[in-house]
Amino acid sequence: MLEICRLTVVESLRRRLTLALFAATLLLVGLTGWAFSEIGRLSSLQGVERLMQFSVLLLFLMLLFTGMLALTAVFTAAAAVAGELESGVAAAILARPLRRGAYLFGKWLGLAAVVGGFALLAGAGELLIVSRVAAFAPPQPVAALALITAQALLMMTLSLALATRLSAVTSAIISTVAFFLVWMLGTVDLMGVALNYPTLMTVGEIGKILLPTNALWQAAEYYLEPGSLVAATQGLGLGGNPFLAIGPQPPAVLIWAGVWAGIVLALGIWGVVRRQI
Amino acid sequence: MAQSQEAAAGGTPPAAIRTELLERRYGRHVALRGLSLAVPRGSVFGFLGPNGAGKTTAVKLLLGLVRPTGGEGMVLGLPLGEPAARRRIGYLPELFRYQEWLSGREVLEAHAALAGMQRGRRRAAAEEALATVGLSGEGLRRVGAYSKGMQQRLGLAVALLGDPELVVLDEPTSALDPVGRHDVRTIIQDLRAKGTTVFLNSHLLTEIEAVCDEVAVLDHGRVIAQGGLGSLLQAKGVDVEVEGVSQEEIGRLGGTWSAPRNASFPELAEGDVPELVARLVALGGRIHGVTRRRASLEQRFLDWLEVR
Ligand SMILES: Nc1ncnc2c1ncn2[C@@H]1O[C@H](COP(=O)(O)OP(=O)(O)OP(=O)(O)O)[C@@H](O)[C@H]1O
Ligand SMILES: [Mg+2]
Repeated sequence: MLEICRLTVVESLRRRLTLALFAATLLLVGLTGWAFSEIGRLSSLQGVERLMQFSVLLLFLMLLFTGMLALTAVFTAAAAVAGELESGVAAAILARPLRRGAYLFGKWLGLAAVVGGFALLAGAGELLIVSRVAAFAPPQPVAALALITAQALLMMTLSLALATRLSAVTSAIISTVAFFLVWMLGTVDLMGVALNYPTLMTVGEIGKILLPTNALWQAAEYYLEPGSLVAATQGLGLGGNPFLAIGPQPPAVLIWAGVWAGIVLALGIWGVVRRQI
Repeated sequence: MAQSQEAAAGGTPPAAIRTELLERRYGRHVALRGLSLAVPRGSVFGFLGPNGAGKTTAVKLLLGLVRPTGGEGMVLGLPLGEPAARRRIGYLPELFRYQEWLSGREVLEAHAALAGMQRGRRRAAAEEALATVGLSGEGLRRVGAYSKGMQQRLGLAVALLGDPELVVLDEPTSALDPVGRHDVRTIIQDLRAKGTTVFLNSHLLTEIEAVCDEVAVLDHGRVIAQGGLGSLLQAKGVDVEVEGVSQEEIGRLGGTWSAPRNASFPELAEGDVPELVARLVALGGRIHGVTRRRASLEQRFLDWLEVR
């Protein structure tokens, strides 16, 4: 299992995937720094309004970043698993005294190292540059980063599980569509809460259960916003805004995300065990 | 060693492979039906059959890559699909592919690790396997830059790595040049000398004829002939080059003229040849040559497929 994990990491190094991710990190951090310094220079807003402006900008950039992360996670996992199973590389490996579950879990670990490493590194780079350039520090950066990383790992897990039975392209596309659908459902949920439409809320809740990525994002959002901003906007009827979380997510969301990952990984293992190589 | 002890311990030595009515269906299509085999330890077993006969399916069942839909089997004393048995099996798949972003030696080291070999022994085992298949100088190059034949040699090295007790080769020479085919023959003969069991899938009859002790012939998922190569290839009949005997006399002995001076006796059993020669001589015949018929594997193969 550890050998499979090691091979997966070596593969991403040799295929220059890690290099590409590192370049993406630099680009992302550079652009963020530039955007914040420009806005800071040009904007005349003060106080809570300035905070609000920075906060929304940061959330917007981080949201794009999580989207990028999700795509990276999805395509990396799909290619790593389906590619090997389809090409015949896996036939030689699985003829060794290795259980298929251990094979898939080894892949999961290796991919988690690559995808999680990228998420943490690039995310930390983002938050650091913003605090340096704009003197704007989110209240709980570590918790926010952990949640964003967890979101990327969920997407990676989903795509990995699908790729045990489907082609790389199909798994990646299904995962991507699921990611954006749930994101839309999350927004619907926010509107439901704001306008007090129970049906919309139910639809949103179902989305959260099927794929808790957006719920994790909303949790991360709350940790990225300054407390004074949250307090100032309370009761202003600003709910329903995807760039503003008005409260923390309940701990059940986190627990469910963990359970969800376990279930999906187990389904993936089942998929590879049942597969005829 | 372990084998001879088992053999000495009494009775017949346990078979390296034994299957009972092994079956694999894909939907309504039966890829393999009722395969019952016993491959003795230390033998080179040839598995023959035309395209689509079910050879690869059988091999994948033996390695646990595909599950049987019926029947059962044991490999090296363990039930099919048991990971522990695979510790002592080397396998070259029919569609061989190895991680192209690794070097040949790294592929072998990774397989050594997966086979549970101790870290310190992996490098030497990899080098040894590379040398056996004639890739000594190529171990540090990326597999992606190997030619197809080189990749098949690498696959062979993977199968031979760490002296497995059973080596399963699914068409090992499909991509090899004549030199490579000859090398494979030598490798298999060396394996036999070491007491390794070899299961060789092939439709190259000359290859099978040259190295196998025993063969099974498969067609449409069914075994249509099985046994020692000697007995399967044995054929009745002799051709005699003879002068001074009349056509009638030849006819009375059960023969016919096939050419001037050439009499053939298609029904004559092997043991009756001296008797025939003695009678021809007694009739005043001058014998220039006696040739026993021996069917080529190819001819037998075609015969088997015809009578199926
Ligand atoms: N995954 C699969 N799905 C459906 N049918 C299959 C599958 N694999 C094999 N078959 C069918 O099973 C039969 C046996 O195939 P197999 O690959 O074992 O033949 P083979 O004897 O190895 O042939 P070849 O000499 O061409 O390699 C074929 O009719 C094939 O169509
Ligand atoms: Mg085949």
